[in-house]
Amino acid sequence: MTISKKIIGLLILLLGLSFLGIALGSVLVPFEEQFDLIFNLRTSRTVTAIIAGAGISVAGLLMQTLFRNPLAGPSVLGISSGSTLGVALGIFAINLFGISSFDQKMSISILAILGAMAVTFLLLFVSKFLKKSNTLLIVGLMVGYFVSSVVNVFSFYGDKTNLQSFVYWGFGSFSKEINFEVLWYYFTPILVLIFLIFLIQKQLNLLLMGEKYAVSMGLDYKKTRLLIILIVGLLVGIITALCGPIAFLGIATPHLARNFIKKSDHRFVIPFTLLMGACLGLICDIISRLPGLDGSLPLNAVTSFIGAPIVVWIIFKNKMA
Amino acid sequence: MMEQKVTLSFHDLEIGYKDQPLSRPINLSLQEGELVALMGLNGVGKTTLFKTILKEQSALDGEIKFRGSSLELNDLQHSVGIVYTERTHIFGFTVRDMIAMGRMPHTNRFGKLSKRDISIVDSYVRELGLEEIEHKQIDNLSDGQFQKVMIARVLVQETPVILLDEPTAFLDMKNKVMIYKLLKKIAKEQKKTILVSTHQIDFCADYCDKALLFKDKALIEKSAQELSSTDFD
Repeated sequence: MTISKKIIGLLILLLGLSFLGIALGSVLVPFEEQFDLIFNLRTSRTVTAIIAGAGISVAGLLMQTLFRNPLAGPSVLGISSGSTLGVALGIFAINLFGISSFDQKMSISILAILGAMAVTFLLLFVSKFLKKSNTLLIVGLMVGYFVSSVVNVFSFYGDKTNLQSFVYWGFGSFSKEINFEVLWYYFTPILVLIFLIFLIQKQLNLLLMGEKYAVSMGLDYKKTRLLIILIVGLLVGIITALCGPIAFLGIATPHLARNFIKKSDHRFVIPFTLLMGACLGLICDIISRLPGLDGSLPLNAVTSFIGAPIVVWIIFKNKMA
Repeated sequence: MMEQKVTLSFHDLEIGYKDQPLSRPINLSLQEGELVALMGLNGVGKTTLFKTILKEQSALDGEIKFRGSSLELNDLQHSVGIVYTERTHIFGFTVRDMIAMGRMPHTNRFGKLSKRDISIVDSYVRELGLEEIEHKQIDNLSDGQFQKVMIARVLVQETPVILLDEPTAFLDMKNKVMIYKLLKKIAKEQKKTILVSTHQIDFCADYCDKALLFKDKALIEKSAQELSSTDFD
């Protein structure tokens, strides 16, 4: 199958899944009553699944290229945990100020972004002292544990309502926000960041060769690394603020994309990662609210259920075991 | 005899680390069309010299010039190319993809290859006899084939100076001979300056024009045939 046929195939799949996403729900609603539901809840949810799925996947791709490690990804490296810490701060601390709901959402989002950026910069700093990139994954895991312990302390002292909303946030969902007017505050920066990624595809390809070769072929390594970290930190922060932590999609999708097209060239891998990420986002969303289920399953449970086996498959395939 | 032009020259160059200088001032020059062996025991500063040329680390003192002007980092991709010892593993990269990477310094922002870029890649694929493995994945190549591909990549980069850091370290005798013959041919036919760090005195005598020997913190020039194992005592 040629690349263009594969792209068309994925676009058709994406369209089909989108239709399914809008049509399906765990609550059966008579058609005449569906209109409002479709255009408020399900459409916003479907669009969020597409954009967040694509965004978190391409963020994972950038991490894997930068760290030259197939197991790098926002959740493994603790970047999502950084966002979680930001949100915990927001929910447990900012709630006390009694500000309006919109301002509260935006403040929490900014804290989530700052949390993600803080961890990414920390990883960058630590990576300078580490020779093996695998060690960095362990450091990332430790950052995750460390952040969890801080969050646990917050939860322990936080009041019951805040705790409940924080735990609920942690389940992850593509329908935390259903108002398109608010959603565009999230979508616009995500789309701009994705556009920026297309502009640095040459640098990303050079990074595949490793830092030394890349620099010898004219790459400004420090500038590129900073740019990638800023893009990843912002993407993961914004998406986590909008949907909660989404596990495994960031690691798994770039591998599926590379294996599907048998290429690592970012000119192809970026669009395929975006498309497959969008499809996977929709699939996870559809599974989480299959008809017959009482309400929706936590999104995070579904992405882990699908993503974790893929990561294990990667480890075996790359003979890393 | 045709006049040879100086490409790379060292002027009172001192390399190493602040608390551990590795050399006394080096004053040497390399000419186009020369295949030069860089020799010396492990740890004497061969790799540090490469790193200094490539601006990965700064010189303690002195200067490196390229065709008479100071060698700048932002011109490096057009003046000096490098092939390292270690293999680079990239999933889904064919031989052709890897060779084409060498054209990146010449492409636009998106890395799109022009017709000229493609014809240059084609010509080196033919020149180095890589047509048969052109579409093979690089991870499936033998070590000898891989080094050949990396040499093709650096040739495609079209830099007048090429550095090779122990390019035959992992190769068997047949492949070593193949690589040295190839380097000699490229140096002569394409008027490249090729500096190879190596431990192989025999190959140096057979193929190189001269040798730079690191000994007692000095980098001295010797004729390739003059070298003997006592130089490494």
